[in-house]
Amino acid sequence: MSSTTARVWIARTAALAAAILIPACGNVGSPGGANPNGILWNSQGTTGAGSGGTGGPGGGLWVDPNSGLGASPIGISNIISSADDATYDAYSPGGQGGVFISKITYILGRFHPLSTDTGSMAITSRENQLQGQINAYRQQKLGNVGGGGGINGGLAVGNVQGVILSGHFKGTKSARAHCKHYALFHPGFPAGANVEGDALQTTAGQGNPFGTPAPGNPDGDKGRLGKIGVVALKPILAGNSIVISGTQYGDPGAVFTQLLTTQPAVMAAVGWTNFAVGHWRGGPNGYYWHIIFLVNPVPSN
Amino acid sequence: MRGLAAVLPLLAVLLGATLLVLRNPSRASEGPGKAAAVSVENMAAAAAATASSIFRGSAPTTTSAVRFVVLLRGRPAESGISVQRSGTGDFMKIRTEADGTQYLHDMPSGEYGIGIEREDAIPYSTVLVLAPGQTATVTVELKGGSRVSGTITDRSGRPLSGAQVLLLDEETKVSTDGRSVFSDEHGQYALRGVAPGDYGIRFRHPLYKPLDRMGLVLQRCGDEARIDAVLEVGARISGRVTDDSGAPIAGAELIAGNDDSAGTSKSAEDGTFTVTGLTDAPANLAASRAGYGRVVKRNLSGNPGDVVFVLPRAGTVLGRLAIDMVPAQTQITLSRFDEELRQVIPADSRFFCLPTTATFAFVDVPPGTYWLEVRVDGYEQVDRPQFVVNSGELTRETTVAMRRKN
Repeated sequence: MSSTTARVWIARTAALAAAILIPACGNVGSPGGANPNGILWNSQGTTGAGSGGTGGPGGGLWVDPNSGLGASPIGISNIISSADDATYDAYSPGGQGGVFISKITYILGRFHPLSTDTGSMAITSRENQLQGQINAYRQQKLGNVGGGGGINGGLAVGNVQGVILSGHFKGTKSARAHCKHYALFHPGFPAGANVEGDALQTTAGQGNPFGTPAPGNPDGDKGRLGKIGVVALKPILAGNSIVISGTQYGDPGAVFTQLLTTQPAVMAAVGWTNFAVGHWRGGPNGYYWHIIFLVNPVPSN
Repeated sequence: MRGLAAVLPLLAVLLGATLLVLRNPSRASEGPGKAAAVSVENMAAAAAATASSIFRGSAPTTTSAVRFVVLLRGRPAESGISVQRSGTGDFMKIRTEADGTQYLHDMPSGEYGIGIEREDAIPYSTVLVLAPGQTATVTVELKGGSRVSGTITDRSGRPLSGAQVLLLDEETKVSTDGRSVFSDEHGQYALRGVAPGDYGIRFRHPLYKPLDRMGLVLQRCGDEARIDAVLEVGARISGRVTDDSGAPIAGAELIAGNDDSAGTSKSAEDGTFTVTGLTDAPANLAASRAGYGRVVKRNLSGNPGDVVFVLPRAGTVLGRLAIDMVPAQTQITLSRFDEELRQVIPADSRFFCLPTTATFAFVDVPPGTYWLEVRVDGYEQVDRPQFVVNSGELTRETTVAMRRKN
């Protein structure tokens, strides 16, 4: 058999196999039902539209990942430098010898972030801004603001302790990681437990949602804070973990306005000692925020 | 026979099982809000792609593809799909065709987060792992959600448009999924695709008092609940904002709040403002604008209409850490002496990512006498320098010395 004959034979066989198999793949045709051309996956490194899809090439379907939002560049993941110092796969709770020396696995093979450090001003400056707005609101609500050192200000009244909340280093990294986690791994950004099953402070009865044993893991049944070695007292109010995401929340001011609308009581409650504001950008929802209010966390920062 | 020998491996590729893993996180499958039936098939489309490559005489493709089939109550359901390539910034938002299908091709192999949404269905999410060259079919049977609807009126029965309606978790009173809807010109609203659970509804309108209605129990998918709301006109605070020469300040941000409500506004060109939508409880009101110090008026009640803010020109605090290594993050608290309380109280507290020069600045600081407190892991502050902030001026750079803890 010549090579040409063999090639034709192979092609005929392959075509036959395809003809047999295609109808079995579904009951609405192939490959894409009403849209046989389908939509081309475009990586972040490529601008432009996909081929096919309702409305022509790209059309309203395609969200340009370079801008993320179809608007000006927002600094999505490839230009946000960060280090995940704890992930679902590896963590050294004491930090001895580096975070990966003493490996404790929560979910094998899943490097989804649990604690994220960054020096990116695009992230930290906005976190700071929202922290400042929350603290300013607490001052206003709870007292201790002289209004310009006595110039035209109101009276300084109220309690001294706990009005201005201190940020919490580890809590901030946890909050930031929660945002990054959803920006890079999961569409949507639900309140409460994450897809892996962890709530913020407890993981009641959750075990390991992926069924992978985590041998020797003393923190496997803890929440996201517990997994990075942070223990805090019971929140004075329910709702101490607030997530907000959406393309309209690029400005911390928009987040603060939303907090005023939905959570003014939590934001200005007496009894919190610390708070953490985490932010990330990119992904299907555009902008992600996680605000945590804490009572006497250990370690204290 | 050599040809047949060459064909056999190909058939093995075409007909053999391909590695395809669809991970369905437990909460996605068990949680009332996300349950859905999912099936994944090894796809003949991969075989077709391979065959196509062979016809062209080229190497088999190594890119992958996903075909989506979305159903609701057994019928094709046009839906929105988010596809997130795990661990990267790559994502796409697409829609199915009217028949509930879509085909996404030329995808790199790897893990993907998948989210499927439709207004009247409970959102669904899962994780999909694509092996090189494979095509997966993700068939999702969405669950129809419950519907919460109603009409919002004022006390006279006039329908209110533009009222925001949020679904709250009954226990935490936190918005469950960030979703909200607004009432239309007939005052009507509808939240759809709600999973079974215990909820509350929060109504917010800029001119009316906020209202929470708790105790909503949705036991089954498809439940219908009707919650009407009658909103009462809220308290308001009006006044104007000027600088210390009496000139109006436009664009100043006004934030009012009391135990139950909060409202915001901005001052107009002539410096006037009105904050609305508050409850009758006494409220504190703050005014601020870039370049000016923030001023707070307290315990305002009775719909005052003549509140005057005189904002002082703010100063800027410049500082620097004297430290042997610039930390990744530094918390710096600006404190001041409160004349009335006769003690130092914190005025602002921020995380800073300091540059290599370890310098920092606080802007828009009201005039007064201040201290700086610095927290860095593993370090302690040597001293507590004091300085004065004057109206409209930069302070001299204040150095805060830090030393390692023993």
